[in-house]
Order: sequence, then structure tokens, then C-alpha cells
Amino acid sequence: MTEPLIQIRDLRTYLYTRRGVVKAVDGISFDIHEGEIVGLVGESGSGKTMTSLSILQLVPQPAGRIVGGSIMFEGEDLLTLPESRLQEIRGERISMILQDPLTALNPVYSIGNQVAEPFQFHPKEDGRGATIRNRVVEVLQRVGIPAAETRVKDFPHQFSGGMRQRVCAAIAIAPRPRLLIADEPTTALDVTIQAQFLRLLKQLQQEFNLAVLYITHDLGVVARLCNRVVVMYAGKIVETGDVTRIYKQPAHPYTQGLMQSVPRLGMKRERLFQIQGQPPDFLDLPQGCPFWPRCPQAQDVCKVEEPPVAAVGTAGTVRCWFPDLTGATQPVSSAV
Amino acid sequence: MIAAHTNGVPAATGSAPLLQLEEVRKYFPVRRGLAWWRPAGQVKAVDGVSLTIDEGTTIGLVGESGCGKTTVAKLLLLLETPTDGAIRFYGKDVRQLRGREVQTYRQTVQAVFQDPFSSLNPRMRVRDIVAEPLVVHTKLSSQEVRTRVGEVLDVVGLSSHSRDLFPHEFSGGQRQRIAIARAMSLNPKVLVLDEPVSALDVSIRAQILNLLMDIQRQYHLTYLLIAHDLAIVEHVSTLCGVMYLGTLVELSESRELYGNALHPYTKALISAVPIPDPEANVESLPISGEIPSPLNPPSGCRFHTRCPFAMPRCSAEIPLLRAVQPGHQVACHLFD
Repeated sequence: MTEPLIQIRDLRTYLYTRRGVVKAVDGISFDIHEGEIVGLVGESGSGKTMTSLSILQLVPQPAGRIVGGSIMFEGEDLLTLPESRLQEIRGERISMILQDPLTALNPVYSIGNQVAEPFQFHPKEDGRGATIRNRVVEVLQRVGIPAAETRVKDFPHQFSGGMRQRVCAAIAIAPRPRLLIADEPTTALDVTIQAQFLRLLKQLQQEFNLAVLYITHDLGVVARLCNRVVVMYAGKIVETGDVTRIYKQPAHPYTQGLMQSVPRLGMKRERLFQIQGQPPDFLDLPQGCPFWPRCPQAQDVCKVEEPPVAAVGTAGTVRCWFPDLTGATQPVSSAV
Repeated sequence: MIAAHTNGVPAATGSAPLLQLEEVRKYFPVRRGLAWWRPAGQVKAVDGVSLTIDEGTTIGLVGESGCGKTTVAKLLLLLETPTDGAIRFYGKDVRQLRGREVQTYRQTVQAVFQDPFSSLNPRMRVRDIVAEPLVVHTKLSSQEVRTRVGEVLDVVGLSSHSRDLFPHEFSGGQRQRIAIARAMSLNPKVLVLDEPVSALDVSIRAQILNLLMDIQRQYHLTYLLIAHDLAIVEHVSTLCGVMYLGTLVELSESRELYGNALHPYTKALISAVPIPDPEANVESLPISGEIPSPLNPPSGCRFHTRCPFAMPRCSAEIPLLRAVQPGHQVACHLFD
């Protein structure tokens, strides 16, 4: 396989709060290849958003700090770069779509102004007003804004939620980035609008051969969109793998629980499978595997020692003492 | 159980259904500009909805944001009065309820809201939150109130030591349990559930849905479940209604609805839901465009602007909800 576009190794992002240290991202490693859509799945507070903010180094200061690891992107370690170089990368090489299109756009600037920003910050060719304007219209048309020529003068409140998210997508793809991070971009949208947006994202991804890191808790969206899945729990990656394998043969008990607890259309059952217990408290994580208090297969060793990482399927990993390795290979390494 | 409403239920008139909505309409005036006292228009939030809710059933209402489903809930909870039409409680129009009867109605019909972070008073202890309806509606002694609070906390699966804690000490799922306990304290017949799990994590949703189904069976409750997640509505409800721009476009037994949807909007809605299976067929019937403004809804069938099967007749004539098969009603000219 070719060199991955971005290689995250042992990334640790901690938040220093008054009540203690929150290990929001605790030693995670994964790759994203060119043209690949990777779904980052987990519950609220599992560290998904902190992971994406760490890549762009936008972790909230001063509470948050990246304390270790490396993020190799196009031959550079993002964590060692000076701020000036980072600014060139942010928006131009790596861009981001946020969850809420209402708050992501500035209410006092016109749409045209905001879509023009990446062209002004990252002037590639001709930076003159008329050229920029043409390119703004072009990119707005590309994301499916009707009557883009006239709508560039409009303000965010004159657009609906779905259209605003399209504007955000336009801003994100305008400088032709290599990696797009989408942090729950459709959570605020209705299902029919979500379907339209997902279709657009897939088209853009194919057209520009974009790599996408798609953060969500919706397993349906992941199945429709992604090639690979990374599952996070309590700041750690518990399972990674090919989307089909993760859905057909999840190896980690948490992934298995997630897959079984989702009601599916047309498959009515008497009772839903439920994962016992409550999401973990980051300030009071259990010893050993963070999932053991909720795990149906927990044994004594799970309560004491961190589980090892084992290989599953093709290029998949699972962090568990007793993974369900149906059709998989033997463990490869001990705890990272 | 306490005798909270044995005095309550108005002399059940024969076999009149528990709750009945007859051509209910709710219009909200829109005021604009300097002449704020003069309505500039009306938002037709609910426009002629008829629905019969029988005892022990679960009616699900699905639809996109702005379709009027929450307004239906508010009308049932007497938080809004209908502009036109009637809501009948055992055959009696709720607008004719007086004094004590209104109180009885409110004891019988309780609510659980979407966001357990804002529906619980952060300055009250759990025991006071759950006891509040008892203090308002009953003349129980403080000892009896304490016993009853213990009972309902037990019903929703919260330990008795949680009664002295404040809401912020609980996770989302447990907070929703507190909200359910509060609704259950008066031993109601009907629970209006407005998006009860959409604010919760995926792994917690199944717990709350199972709990709701358990207490329904145990206490013979009737549910009006409002949700935008079709899979959840299908899983929980017996009968399911689909709303679009204030009108009910299809109403049927929920299994029948998902297996054999008739209305083009229902089909589009079902196919827009991402299925948590990477090998599933992708959407077959995408719809374009967005929901028109309820301030100025389209003439005739309100869906005709987005409908792939629209005929000239659709923009002129309003389709009526009629039974096309036993127990399956649809409002569409395709089935006339």
C-alpha cells in the first residue's frame, strides 16, 4: 500500500481542569490514506472532537494540551511545526466542516465574503477581486446552491440549515484541500437534507480524491459513507477496520454492543439489546480496560491490566483481552 | 400505587376512545415590522390533524423539523389551545373541562421532554423534582410522598441514594430516567414523549427505550411518541403517523408502514434514513429541495413541490386522508 496521507501515532491530548487531568485523547494511532473516508465513531465525550482539533492544533487553550505523539502529514510532523506554517496548512491542505452551520458562519458577513476568505488567505493564482468573485460563484455552484450569482450577496440567516451546511462545505473545499475533517456535519439537519448532503460530500470526495475524516455517532451514516471505521471509547481506540468487517463481525464487545443496540427499520424485535451501565467519567476511569464495568465478557485480568492490541481482518485492530476474532489472525503486539 | 386519580377519570362515556383529535388546527400569528400588533400572516403549524389514541397503544409521529409534531404534543398537554377543531378526552372536549377536571386531565396526561439537561431544575434535588407533581396535584402527607418517590425511582431503575443528589450529578441517560420518574409519579394513563432519546448517546438509547416499553406493559400506559428517527418509532409504536407541513400524510400500523409505505413522502423519508449496514442498497427514491415555509404553504397537496409523481391535480386539490386498505390511511391523489 502507498504511504498514508496522514499518520497519527500515539497522540495524547490532555485537558487540565480544576477537578483533575482529563485524558481526552490517550495514545491513539491511525492512518488515513488518500481518497479514503474514515469514520470516527464514539459516544459524546469519547474524544472524537478532541482528536480532530488536535490534528489542526485548535485544542482549546489553556486547558488543553497535546502532550505526546506525532501527526505526520505530507512528510511533516504537524506537532513540531511553527504557527506560521500551520496557518498555511489549515484551510488549504486540511480543512474542516463543523457540526452546526448556524454558528459556524459569521452572521454579519455576506456568504460571498466568507467563501472568498480561503482564496484571500491562501492566494494560489490571481488574487484580484473579479477573479475571486468568479471562483466564489463557481464553488457555490459546485456545492449546489441555486442562483449562486445572486445569492453571494445574501447573509447566513437568509439560508436554510441544509443550504448553510453547503456553504460551509464550499468554504472547506474552495482551496482544494487534501484532507477534510467533518465533525458531525449532519447532526443538525433533517434526514432528507442529510441524505442530500451526504450525496454531495461523496461526490466532492470522488471528484477531488479527498481524504475525509468523518466524525459521527450515527452508525447508519458511517455504513453509507465510509470505507474504514475507527471506534473510540474513553479517549482510546478500541477497534479499527474495514467498514464491512466492523459491521458484520465486530471484534470488540463495545462495538458489538453498539451494532446490536441500534433499532433498524423493518427488523422489529421485542427488546433492544442494551449496553449496561453509564458512559465513563473521565476523572474517575476504572483501572485496566476502561470498558470493563459495562462489558458482558469482563474477566479479572480486564480489571487490572490494560488490554493488548490485536490484529483483526485486513488492517484492522482491536484493543481487548478477549476479542471475538472470528476469521482473524493472532495478536501482534502488546499494550501500546 | 396511590389513589392519585381514582376521583379523576370522567365518567367513561361508553366506549369513547381515550384521546381523540378531530380536525385540529393551530395557527400562530406572525407579527412583523412596526405594526407589531397587526398579524402579518399565520404559521399553520398544525392544519387539520385527526387521530384516535386508544388505551394501551403507542402512536408514533414522525416528520422533519417544522412539520408540527411538537405542536401536536403541546396541544395534547394543554400548553396550547387549538385554533380550530377539538381534542376529546373520553369523548369530552378538553376546552370544556373546568377547574378540577383540568387538574385531573393534567394528572392523566404527563410528558417527558427531549433534553434532560434543561427539563430538570438544576437547583432542586431529585426527590423534590419527582415529588413536585405530587405536591401540586395531591394531598398526600410528606411521608406518603416520600414513599411514592421511592416507588417511582425504583420503577425507573434509580437507586434510592440518588434521591438526595442534584441533576448535574447524573449522566444524560439517568437524567432522562429522573424525568420519566417525575412523569410517572402521578400514575398517569398517557405519556407524551417528545423526542425522548434523541439527546442521548447511542449506547444509552436502547436502555431508555427498553425501560419505556417495560413500564408501558407494566402500567398499561398509552404513549404518544414524537421522534424524527423512524427506526425508533417503528420499534416502539403500534400505529405510526407521518406528518408533513402540519398535515398527516399517512397513518398506519407501523410494521405495515415500513413494509408497505404508500405516500411518496413516507417512501422518501424511509429511503433517506441511513441503514447501519454497509451492504444495504442506497437510497432509491431521493427527494430534492427543502421543506417550504409553513407561512406560505404550497396549494393543494403540500408535498407537490418536491414530489416526483406530482400531477396537475396535486397543486389544485388538497388530498384527504382516506383508508386505502383496512388500517392504512394515506392522503395522496395517487391512491384516489
